[in-house]
Amino acid sequence: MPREDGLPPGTLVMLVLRVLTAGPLHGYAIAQRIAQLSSQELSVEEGSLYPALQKLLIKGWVKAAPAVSATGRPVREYRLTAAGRKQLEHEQDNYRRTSRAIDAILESA
Amino acid sequence: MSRPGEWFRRLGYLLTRRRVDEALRQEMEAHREMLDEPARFGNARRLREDAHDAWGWRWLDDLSRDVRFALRTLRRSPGFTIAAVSTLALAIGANLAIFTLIDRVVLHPLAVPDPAHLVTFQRTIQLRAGPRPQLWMTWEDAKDLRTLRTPVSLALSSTSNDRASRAIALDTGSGDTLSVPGRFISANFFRVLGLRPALGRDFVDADDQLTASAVAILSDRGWRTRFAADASIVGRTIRVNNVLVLIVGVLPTTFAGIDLGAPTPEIYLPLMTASRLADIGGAQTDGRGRPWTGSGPGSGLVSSISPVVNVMGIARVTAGTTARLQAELSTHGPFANWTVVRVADTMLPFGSWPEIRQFVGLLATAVALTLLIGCANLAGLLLARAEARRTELSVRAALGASRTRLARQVAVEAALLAAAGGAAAWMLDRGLGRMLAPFVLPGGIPISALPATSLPRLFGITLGLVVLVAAIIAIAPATLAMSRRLSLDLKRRGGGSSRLGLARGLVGVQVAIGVVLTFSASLFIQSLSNALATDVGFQRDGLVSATLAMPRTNQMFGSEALDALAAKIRELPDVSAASVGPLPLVQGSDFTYTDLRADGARVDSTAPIDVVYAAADYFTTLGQPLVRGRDFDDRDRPNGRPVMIVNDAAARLLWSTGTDPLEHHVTISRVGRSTDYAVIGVTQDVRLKTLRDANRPVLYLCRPQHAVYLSGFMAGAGQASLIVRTSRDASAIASSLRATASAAGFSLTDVTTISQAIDTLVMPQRLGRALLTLLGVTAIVLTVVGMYGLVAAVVARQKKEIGIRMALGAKPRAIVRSVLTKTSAPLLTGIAAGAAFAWWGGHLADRFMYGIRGANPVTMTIAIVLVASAGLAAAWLPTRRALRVNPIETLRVD
Repeated sequence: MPREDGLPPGTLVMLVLRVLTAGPLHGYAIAQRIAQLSSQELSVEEGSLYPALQKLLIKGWVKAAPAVSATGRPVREYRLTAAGRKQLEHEQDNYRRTSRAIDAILESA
Repeated sequence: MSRPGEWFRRLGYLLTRRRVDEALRQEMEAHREMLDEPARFGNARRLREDAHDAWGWRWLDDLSRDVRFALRTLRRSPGFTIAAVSTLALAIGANLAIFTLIDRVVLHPLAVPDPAHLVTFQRTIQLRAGPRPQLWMTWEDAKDLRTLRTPVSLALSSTSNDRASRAIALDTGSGDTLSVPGRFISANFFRVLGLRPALGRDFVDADDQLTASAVAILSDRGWRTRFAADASIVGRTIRVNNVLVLIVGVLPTTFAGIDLGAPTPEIYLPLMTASRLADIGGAQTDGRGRPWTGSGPGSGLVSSISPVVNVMGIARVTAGTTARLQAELSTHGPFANWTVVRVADTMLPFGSWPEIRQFVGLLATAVALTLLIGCANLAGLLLARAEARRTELSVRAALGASRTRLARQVAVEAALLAAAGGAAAWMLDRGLGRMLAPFVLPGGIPISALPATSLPRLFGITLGLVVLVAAIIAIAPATLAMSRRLSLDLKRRGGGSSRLGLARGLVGVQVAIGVVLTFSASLFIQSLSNALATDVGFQRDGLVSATLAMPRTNQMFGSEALDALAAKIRELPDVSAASVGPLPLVQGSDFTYTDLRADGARVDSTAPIDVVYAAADYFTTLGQPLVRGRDFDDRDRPNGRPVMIVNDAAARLLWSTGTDPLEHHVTISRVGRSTDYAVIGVTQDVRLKTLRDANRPVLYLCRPQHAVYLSGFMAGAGQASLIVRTSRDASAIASSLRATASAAGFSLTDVTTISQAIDTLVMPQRLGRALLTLLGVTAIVLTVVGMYGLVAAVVARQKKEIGIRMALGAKPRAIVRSVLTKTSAPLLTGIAAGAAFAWWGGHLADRFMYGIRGANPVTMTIAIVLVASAGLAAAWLPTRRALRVNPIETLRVD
């Protein structure tokens, strides 16, 4: 299925974990941060973000805690856990290796 | 990530989902507000559902929806629900009762930890009738056994028929003394078994000393029957044979002793206190019927202070020690021919196992068939309900519900019914247990003597049955829901494709099982009435018997004491005759002999011949006629010529046909002594030990001529039986019998009529009849319901066709014929299949039948006629409705 957000498949979890390394964020902020860091190149759909966050919660990679948004709304902030940090390293390594391999193929041609 | 952690978080979500979902909702709301164009945020509800599904609890939501829906559906048709649940409750309950019984008698008769490593010692003795295992050893042997080098802890228990075990008279404080079954055990007995008392404490070594103060542990049975399960029993003092005894503990309910053939022990007492506690009365004997003289086997130091003669040794072994123990035993002098066997394998009476297995198998088959017929019936009803909901199912299928989803919904309804049936059966279980309790299994094992099934096992069996039932009854309606043609149904509404094949099959199964169960029930009913009507060879009406306990005295007492008592009892009003001697069918005979000579010629008989000690008035009291010669009387003096009365069967065995046995001679050799008897009379054959003993040879000896020998024997047994012929019933005469006996120094227990004794004898048949009649009636009712449902469905389906045919002038007979052709196939095939199965299985019941064979054409005809007429009657009502079909009305529909 083509994705409209420009995200390569399977990378959303890694990106979410990555933006959380700087500190706990709530759902909207995570989406904003990904867009901002990618210079609006990548955007995360809410329809993908929230199920992905549930997956991170189930896996124990993040923990949710109640907080208040900038607009004064009660929200949940997601904080990276030690397991999440490990998972991020693992996924980053994997991604870099794959991406270098793809680059090598693309440049050779 | 660890999976348990994941599951833990998922579970945490399930428990707090309301709060979490609400937090998520607010978060999404905030997210939407912060967007530049809030409209871009997708369908919030959909997003929440997706997020929710990520936690993997979707199936649970669906399930709870299905359950709520099924509950609503079931509540809407209470009649159906009640009928279904009670059918299942009965079917599951009957299975529960029988499978618990199997568990109690076959699978877990010994409810102790690790029963496989509990062993006892057995030797095989050669009898004329074949080899026979013997589990008891003398007290002397047991002492010797304790010197074994193999490290096992050995426990000892007096055997069930040791005179000390049978001489425990209990006074619970009410002033009434009861003779109760008990055992004298070594202090480590329960420790070796691995049992801890449920209340109070176990015996300690200090309890098992000659001078220790007397203590007792009650079995669960003793605690319940004698002390009404009094929770504060520990610490109470009771009297055992007039000695004060302190109750220190009560055993758990799952332990019923290590010998299921004997009455369940109610009280356990330390072995070394036996000399003070056991009231063995009479003279000391060596336990083999010979007066104890202070020398010879079994008469060492210990037996002179302990009345316990025969003990069983029990040891707990580890996996490796069994072989070592066996090896050491074979080199251990007197134990050379003993083997180490598992206790669990010795608990049933010798030789009773095949009969028990067959009987229990028969009951299990009957209840399993009942479960099957109940399931077939319910599957039919559920199928009919699914048919009625066809349109609803079709619409839902058309709207995109998956077939599995629809099937699951139908299956949930079936599962709910099964669960409700199981729950009801669980509640019924106590009642059914009480129903079975008074019965006795073949081999003389009272069901009440079996250990209780442990609760987890009972639950496991129930759950297993519920799952099985749910699976069976869900299949038919679920197949319908899975049907690919469901979507087609919308196009041709009203007609509906025919699922009658399945319904017919289900009715066929019900009819077949109906025939089998009705057949078995009528076999048992006929057999029992045959058994009760058996001519036992003596007059059973007006005969009362009682157990006569010997007076506690160290004096030898002669046969004349017994005859004097009989004479006193004869003088009582309403008593026409009385005597002391074994009651046929209850005590059977006194001895069996194998070494016989008739007029000097050796008698070659494979079976041992029974010998009964009788005295004057014995035959008169029994109402057992003499066909030749005379009865024992004053002429037969103790030192006079030894005389004998034989029965017809014995006469036929000992002499050629046509010989008059009178004044012929029989020589009996025993313990190196030969006695020559002159035959003075011939009596009619009686059923001596079982109702089947039609031609059993019996020799009757004159008791007064065996006085010395006999007193030893009776003191050893501790009891004899008094028989009384009276015009009144047992309970009316009991008190005057007791008073007369106690004036003469005897005590009487168990005053019963011979009819009650015969009742006990045919207990397995009674159990079979009671259970099979219940199941047979259930089967017939279910068959009727099933048949009715099928015919009604056929008529409903063909309403239009019938209307048209009637409008065109078809005769009612033709309509009836067409309905019956469509419905009689399952009835006929079911009857044929059921009859074939019942005929084939009939031989299984043979062993338990009296005067009737399992494969019995008359019984078979009865069963077939019953089921066929019930089936036709069930078909009649809906068929008549078919004839009332109004052509105009049916055609107007649609």
